[in-house]
Amino acid sequence: MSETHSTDDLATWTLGVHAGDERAFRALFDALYHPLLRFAGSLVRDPAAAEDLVQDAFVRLWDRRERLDVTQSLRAYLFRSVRNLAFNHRRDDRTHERLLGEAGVDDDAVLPRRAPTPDQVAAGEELGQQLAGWLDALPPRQREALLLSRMEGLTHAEVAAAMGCAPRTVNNHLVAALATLKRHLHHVGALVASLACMLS
Amino acid sequence: MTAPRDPSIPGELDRALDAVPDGEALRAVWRAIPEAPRTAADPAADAQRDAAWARLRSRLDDPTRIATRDGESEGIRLVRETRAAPSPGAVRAETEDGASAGARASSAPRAGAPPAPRRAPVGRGARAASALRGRLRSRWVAAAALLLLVGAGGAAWRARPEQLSVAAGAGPRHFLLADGSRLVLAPGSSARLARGFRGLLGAAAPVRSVRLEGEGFFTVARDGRPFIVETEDATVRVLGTRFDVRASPGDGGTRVLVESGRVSVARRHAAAAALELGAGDGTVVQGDSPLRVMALPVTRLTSWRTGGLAALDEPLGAVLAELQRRFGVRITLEGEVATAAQVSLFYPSVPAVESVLADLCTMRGLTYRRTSDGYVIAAGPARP
Repeated sequence: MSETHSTDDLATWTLGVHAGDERAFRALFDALYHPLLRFAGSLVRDPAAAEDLVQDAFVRLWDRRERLDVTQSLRAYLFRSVRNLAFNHRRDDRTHERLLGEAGVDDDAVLPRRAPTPDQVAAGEELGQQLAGWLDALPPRQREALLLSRMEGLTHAEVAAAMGCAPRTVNNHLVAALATLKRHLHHVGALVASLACMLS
Repeated sequence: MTAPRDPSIPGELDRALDAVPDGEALRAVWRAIPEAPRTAADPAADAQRDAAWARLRSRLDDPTRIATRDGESEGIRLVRETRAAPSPGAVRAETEDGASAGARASSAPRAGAPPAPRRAPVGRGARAASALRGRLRSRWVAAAALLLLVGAGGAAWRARPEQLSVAAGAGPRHFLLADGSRLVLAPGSSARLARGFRGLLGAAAPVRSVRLEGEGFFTVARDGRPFIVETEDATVRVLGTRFDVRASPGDGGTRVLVESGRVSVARRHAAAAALELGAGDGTVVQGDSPLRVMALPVTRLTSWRTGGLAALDEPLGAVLAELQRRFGVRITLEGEVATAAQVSLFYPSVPAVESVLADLCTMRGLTYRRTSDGYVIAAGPARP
């Protein structure tokens, strides 16, 4: 099955889901599962938690289908839903940690920093891994904007809706992110040199 | 602009980059970032997605699941049950356990909150201060013990079923249930339900189930779980609607009236197909007579909610049973009273029981007389 979908597909599925059509829901799920999972994975480090977030987002969508605003992008709605759920998840995690104190071990806390996903490595070849690292190091909102806009192909309006900010702000995030990445790209030689120094 | 526009760059961003000194370099960076794969030719990815879909499916089908509730757009959500609160006040205050609920509510804040900070009075010595500290410590222990007790008591309390009832002769009473559904209970009626619609250990029960004696008008809030009203004869199953169920004692059967939405009604002890009722429909489940949909004046027949009384082509016996329940009187029959004869009556506002009896007797050629605890209805003309 293909993940390719057009804006028309999305609009059709939106109406279908709104009307409670399960086939439309399935088609939507198939089209957006991996994009949403990638996005969730960038927000929480634990892959299992990321999967749960995406599940939760679809459950919420189905529960609220009758109250959907069908004039809004369902794709933006789902990305926004994942984003909100990720924030709740992180907040709950922190509360959890605090309550458990030193005795408690938080699963996420002991997980190593996520390695770049195979997708990222394969797509970008040798640059990919490094790029994934830089993307990871971007300020969260800049990273989110770039991920949604460049990598997942959301429109500006959708990114803005998903992130809950103005389209103008999306632009600012994107330009800032690109500028940071550009610096990294230009200094890549110096970086490698300094690393070599540290290691020797 | 000399270079043609790159279609991979959104127009808004492209224009913003025009205004940036190193815009062209930034465009190059943009292009260097790979797009996420748009097509999944990867069977492993497909399998992962299908597994995720199967999981989602089973989650949505799980009857114990509590659907997302977000209040804002839910017209009838009135109370959101918090974890510690046993049930909304409207229900709690009117249940059998009113007293214990009240006690629990008042002790909880004391147990949960740390003891109020106190300062040793100025001028007292260190001994006084240390004694106070000791007292405070023992208070903490006491508070912790109380908290445990309250917690254990609360768990047991939650597991017990809740009984809502309205005394005969009283007015109808309104109850707000834990899921936001509302129940107007007719006088002389009672409803039993799992406290907070929860099962053991406080887990959400898979269905919201109410066992009804007498009559109740339900306004069911949607929460993803079916709402089931059970009577002696019938099982009424709904998802979110307004309807009336009247369970008459003995062989009187159960009448279901739907004001809005849809409900399904099935005979309780038989595997026969359920009957679907829409707004304005009603049915009676009684004995083995086949279920059929009747168009009924629902508003009029549920006028008991506002103190009215209505019957439409109902057996005299059923009307008398309702009078007994509603007014808490005992009505006995004497001689050959045709209780199966059908009667209709409508009082928009509450009449005295005796005036109803007088009207019924006039209609059916019967007589009535008062006894110590109610009335006797007799066939034939009045005795001297």
